[in-house]
Amino acid sequence: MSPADARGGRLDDLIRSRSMLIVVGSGGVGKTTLSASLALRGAVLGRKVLVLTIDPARRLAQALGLDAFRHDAHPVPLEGVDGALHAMMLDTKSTFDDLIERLAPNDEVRDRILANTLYKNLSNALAGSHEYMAMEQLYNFHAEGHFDLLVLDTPPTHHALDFLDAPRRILDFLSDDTLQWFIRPYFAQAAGRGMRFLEKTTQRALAMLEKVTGLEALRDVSEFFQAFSDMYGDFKVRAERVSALLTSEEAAYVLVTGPAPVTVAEARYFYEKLREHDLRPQALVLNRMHDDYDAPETLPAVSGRSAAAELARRMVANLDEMRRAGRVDQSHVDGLLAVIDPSIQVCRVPLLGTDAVDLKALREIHASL
Amino acid sequence: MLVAMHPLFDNRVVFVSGKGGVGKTTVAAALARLAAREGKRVCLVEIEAAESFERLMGVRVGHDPRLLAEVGDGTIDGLNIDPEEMLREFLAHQIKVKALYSRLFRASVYRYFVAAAPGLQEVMALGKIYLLAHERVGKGRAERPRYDLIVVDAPASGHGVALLRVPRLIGASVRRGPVKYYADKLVAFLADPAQVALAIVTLAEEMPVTEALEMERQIRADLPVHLGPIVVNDLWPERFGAEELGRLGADAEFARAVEAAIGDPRAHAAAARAMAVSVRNLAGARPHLEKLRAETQCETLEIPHVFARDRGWDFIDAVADGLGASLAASPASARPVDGSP
Repeated sequence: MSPADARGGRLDDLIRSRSMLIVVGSGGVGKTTLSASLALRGAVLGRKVLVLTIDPARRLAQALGLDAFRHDAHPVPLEGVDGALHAMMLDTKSTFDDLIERLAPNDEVRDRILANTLYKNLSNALAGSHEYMAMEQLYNFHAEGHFDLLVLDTPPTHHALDFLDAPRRILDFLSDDTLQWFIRPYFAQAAGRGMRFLEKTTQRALAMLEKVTGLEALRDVSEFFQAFSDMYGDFKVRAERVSALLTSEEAAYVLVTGPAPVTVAEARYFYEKLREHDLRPQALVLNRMHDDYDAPETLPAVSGRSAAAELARRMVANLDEMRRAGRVDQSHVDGLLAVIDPSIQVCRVPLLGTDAVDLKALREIHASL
Repeated sequence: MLVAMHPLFDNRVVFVSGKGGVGKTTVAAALARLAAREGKRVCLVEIEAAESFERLMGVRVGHDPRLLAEVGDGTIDGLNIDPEEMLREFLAHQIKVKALYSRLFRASVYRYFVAAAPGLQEVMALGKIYLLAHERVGKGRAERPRYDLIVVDAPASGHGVALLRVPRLIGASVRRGPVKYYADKLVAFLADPAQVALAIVTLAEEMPVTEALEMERQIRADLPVHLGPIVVNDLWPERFGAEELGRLGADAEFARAVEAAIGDPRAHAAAARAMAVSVRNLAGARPHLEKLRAETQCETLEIPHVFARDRGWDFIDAVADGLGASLAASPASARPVDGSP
């Protein structure tokens, strides 16, 4: 371990003991960079780590070898480190396809589903499906067991914790009762004959729907479910397992926020959403925090009209404004800290000198974690 | 005030989009604020359970327009559009018989139908915006549009573009009927540069700029929605010139004079640190800003970083001031008062 790596350590216990770290927070707070930093720390501590990122900035992507390898987990060359770091980019679009691929009983069923309109739009129709697919990938890696630690970066979604709701929502959607209507062999034929086998009023309503909207969706739906019926059981088991994994002791949530009042409000919202699911973040990372500058409380007044005095005056004014802004931000952060569980580890990461984050910068960051 | 002269405010609807986290909601609210200062009646709209307005302004926005603020003669209403509810409203209106449509909505098959009919709910959400834009109040000579301007806090980047594409997609997959009728009307409305514009918000950072340019590219490629200005939000102010910074570094006497002018060594050290952070922030932003300006065909506007304001209208006002100044400085704003081109 290098001297730089020896600093920090508040989150070491977490990083050493869990098998999954899920990094959550609103858009733009620095989740991707922090995920990479946590993962690197894991490797420094001797674990075999995989970080799954969403959309890393160019320098970071280069540092993690993502420009070349993208959606395959590949090793990141590190020096003087006991463990290992692997990285990959999540491909939320194709994992649904992979899942179908994995569960379909044969090529014909697979192809019918992949070509089906309902299937193609399922991921859009079900809010959180992309996020769910990220969880699916996490589940796969966890099940395969090649890595000691998985660090998951989450999408900057508007709906804070869709990925937690998604398994249940998908299951509800594909609920057994209604599924039966669609997979009854005669239903598909009946669709052409005015859906005789459905309850009268429902029939009329559906016919009306199709007339009003002009969309022949029922046929698509019926075809989808017929094809899907073979896989439903497996899908259900899987979705339940993913759900269970996300809420188990193996998973730790790291909530990230920035200093701005609006961002802190969003972090609070995330925190409350997690609580609704009986979950709690194990760590809160205050990212890109301002300095307090260690200035005297009362700043000197600058007099004089020379160029030097003029510059000095502006420097003091700048300090004053930045310090004041930092204090307002801090007061909002204090508000957040006051409502969260006191057992949560809080880490403060200062504003870095650069936004071009590479491995060296990641080490700087994890000195604060 | 010159702000009213910028063509962006001539639109009936302005969609505001951009990468998640750049400040779409803030900019949308600031635009509403600027329009209200000019005496306009504005409606601020968010789509789905975003709750963004609540987090930004501490006000809950419901499914009916509700007054959020009065600014002189102008007003700002807030509205949250739930696409699911909009579809149900539309279908209820079409089907007419309550016993029938309530039953339909309760049936599980309804969910599957909606899932199999992509964009149907989104079309309804846009339809609501269309209706709001055409709603009129008052009688006889006092009759006027309910709203002069509707500002929509649209979904982020890809989702925002997808939303605006939906009417054409639906129009293409349906041959006739009320949905097609409305979808076609929406296509025409969205494509009308005199009525609708899209403003993309970004930050002077790598990923937001990349996404903003990508959004612009996609729209120019196949979506006939008029592109308004790209708004660069939260831009760090330039406080120290390159020359004087160079002088500080090279001229020891000058540096000593600055130190002496401040007096207290601790204050001086702190001021130097704060200056370094300030300079660094700007230096970091500059290449991204330059890349944006070089590659966009849109006008760019800039909103300076707002220091030390809490959430709420106070903060929005400060943002609006910055945006207003940028709009006023825009060549597009220098239009003759008599309306000649």
